Amino acid sequence: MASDGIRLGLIGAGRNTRDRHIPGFQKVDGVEIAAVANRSRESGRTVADQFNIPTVYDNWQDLLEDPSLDAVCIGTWPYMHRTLTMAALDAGKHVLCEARMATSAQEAQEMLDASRERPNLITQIVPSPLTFKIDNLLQEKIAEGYVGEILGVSVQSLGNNFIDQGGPMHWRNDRDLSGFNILNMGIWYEAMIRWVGRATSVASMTKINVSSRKDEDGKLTPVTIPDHVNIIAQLANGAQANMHFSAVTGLSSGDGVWIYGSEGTIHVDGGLNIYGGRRGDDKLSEIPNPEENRAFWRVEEEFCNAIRGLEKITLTPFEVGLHYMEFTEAVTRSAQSGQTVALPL
Amino acid sequence: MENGIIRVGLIGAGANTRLRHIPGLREQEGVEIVAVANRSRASGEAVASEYEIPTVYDNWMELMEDDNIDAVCVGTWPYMHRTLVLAALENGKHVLTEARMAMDAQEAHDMLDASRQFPHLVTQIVPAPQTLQVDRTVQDLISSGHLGEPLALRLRVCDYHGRANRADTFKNTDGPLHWRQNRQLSGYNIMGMGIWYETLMRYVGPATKVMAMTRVFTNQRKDESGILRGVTVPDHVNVLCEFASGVQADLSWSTVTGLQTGTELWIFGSEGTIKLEGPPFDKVLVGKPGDEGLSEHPIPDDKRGKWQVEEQFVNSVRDNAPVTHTPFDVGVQYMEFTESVTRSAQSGQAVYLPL
Repeated sequence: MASDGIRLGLIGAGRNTRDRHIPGFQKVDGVEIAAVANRSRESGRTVADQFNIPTVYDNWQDLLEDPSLDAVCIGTWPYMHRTLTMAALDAGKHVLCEARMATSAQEAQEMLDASRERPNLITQIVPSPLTFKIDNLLQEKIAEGYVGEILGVSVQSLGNNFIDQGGPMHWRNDRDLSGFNILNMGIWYEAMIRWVGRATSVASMTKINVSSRKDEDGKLTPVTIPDHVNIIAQLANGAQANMHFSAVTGLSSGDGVWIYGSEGTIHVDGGLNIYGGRRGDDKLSEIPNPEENRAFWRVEEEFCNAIRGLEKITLTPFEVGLHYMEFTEAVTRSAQSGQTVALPL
Repeated sequence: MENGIIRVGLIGAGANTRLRHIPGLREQEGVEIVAVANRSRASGEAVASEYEIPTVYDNWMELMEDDNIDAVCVGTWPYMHRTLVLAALENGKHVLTEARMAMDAQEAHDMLDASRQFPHLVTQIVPAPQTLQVDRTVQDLISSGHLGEPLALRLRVCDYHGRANRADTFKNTDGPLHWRQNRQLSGYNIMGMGIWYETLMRYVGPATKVMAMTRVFTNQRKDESGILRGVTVPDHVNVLCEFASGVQADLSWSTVTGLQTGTELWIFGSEGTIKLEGPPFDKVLVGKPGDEGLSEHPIPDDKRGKWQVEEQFVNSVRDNAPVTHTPFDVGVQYMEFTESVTRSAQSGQAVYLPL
């Protein structure tokens, strides 16, 4: 890393990498996106041409052997995150890894352990961006006692479309690629724990309503990742939460969060508008959320600042990734066993 | 049943008996409310003079021994339902008993078994009344395939029982210990859980698997004598269940969800969605693929149900018409569900139904 310049390699250049990370890194002074390795040399070449990346490697092993690279951005599907993160750390490179952190809690634990063996290297998971706009306000309101003691929490992310029978197999439907991750459960849990902290026990039921989908070759393939999930959780703060995720709830009420406290209630609607009411009020009313108080996407800037020793990773460190992967795994374990699963695992 | 007159005795004359059953029975031809036994002779006399009931008994045992009485209406708290129903049947009397059927599933089974030993006597539980206006319409929508295959169900109940102001649904620590909060009187019953499950069964049949977590946020209340008592009946409940029909459901009841003023029930199918909201649950909202949103489904007048509890009871006594709202076997199902919620919350394990 000559004079604070950062030379970055991309492993896997899917949509989020092209839409978010490449433009994000291009905005940071002194960062050069120097190389890319994608699923094929051909697809790597396409990305390289589009974004003026000088070097295309045949595969990730070749990229990690490039001693001129300081850091890598891992944009593959979850099934490769552990392998690539460990290899990158072994090769002495900082790592920004796409969310979902891993396919299981065990993989996430191994990634965290590996990061601790390399305290000189920065490790970061791409954070849940869904609620950046409201995270600060919710944290402030809860800290100032607006809701009093938190008793109940409800989070729902329900699709508005009816069941999609016969749709194509997406990597998110494929357990080999996605592991225990289901729908957008992990990133909603990551968002929720910013406001109300972690769960200590989980009970869940899951359902697969579309039991087979066509893969890339048009072959009908069984689906083992649920498309409907209901969760109850006990939180460390004493509250009881329910969380609901579905891809079969046509014309549903969409996304929403409710935080019920002893003295007040906060509701976030699907457009991330915040409503609140306190004991004695007769209804919820909108709580202003000033523009200047809203967090925003600065993932690549944070990563580079951390490499330069200017800040610590807060969104999202591997420890938090492990928390949401443990929750994620607990949901499937509970659904499979019919037992409440205690956290941490 | 002399001269075609049905003589009814009241055991326990609480709010629902006075508001619903006495007027309801009086509307029926050939029915006389002839006697009452309440918690004390004095309270029985107060009811008797207000409603012109000729005989007051000191206790329910004396009322049961009155050979002139054909039927009894049991309006006590749940802890007495089993005892009173069994005694009434043994004394040859038809029984209409207040909901919740019993304290637990075992008691409900005892009552069902007893009713089967006396097939000539009518046994009926006061039904879940909140959705009577729309039940038939929802049933028709589902059975006519409007929903396609029912996939998922959501119920969120804000329990504002006893609140002066429906907007004030925050955690309430002031109130005295109510019989609904007293496990010795209410058993496994929690808030309006049993009657809502009874409603869900009308739409999607019985559940086969239950997982639950419950909380008692207000864990001490003063009883009638001002002494602080521990509370063990939950005031916040989350339940997950699978129904035999393949539907997966999330259900919640709470007394601590401030400013959540209403209750919502959603049924999601492969081809359509149904939503009920209330109270008063007098409309059915529906939507299908391609729709912009939900819209109101018209309910023909002849499909709009209403409270007919006493009429149905009297018709059954007179003509042996089958009881539909609500027979004891359905009561057993909701008591099994009710018990499974507490069992699952206590054990951290899924409970499979029937028990």
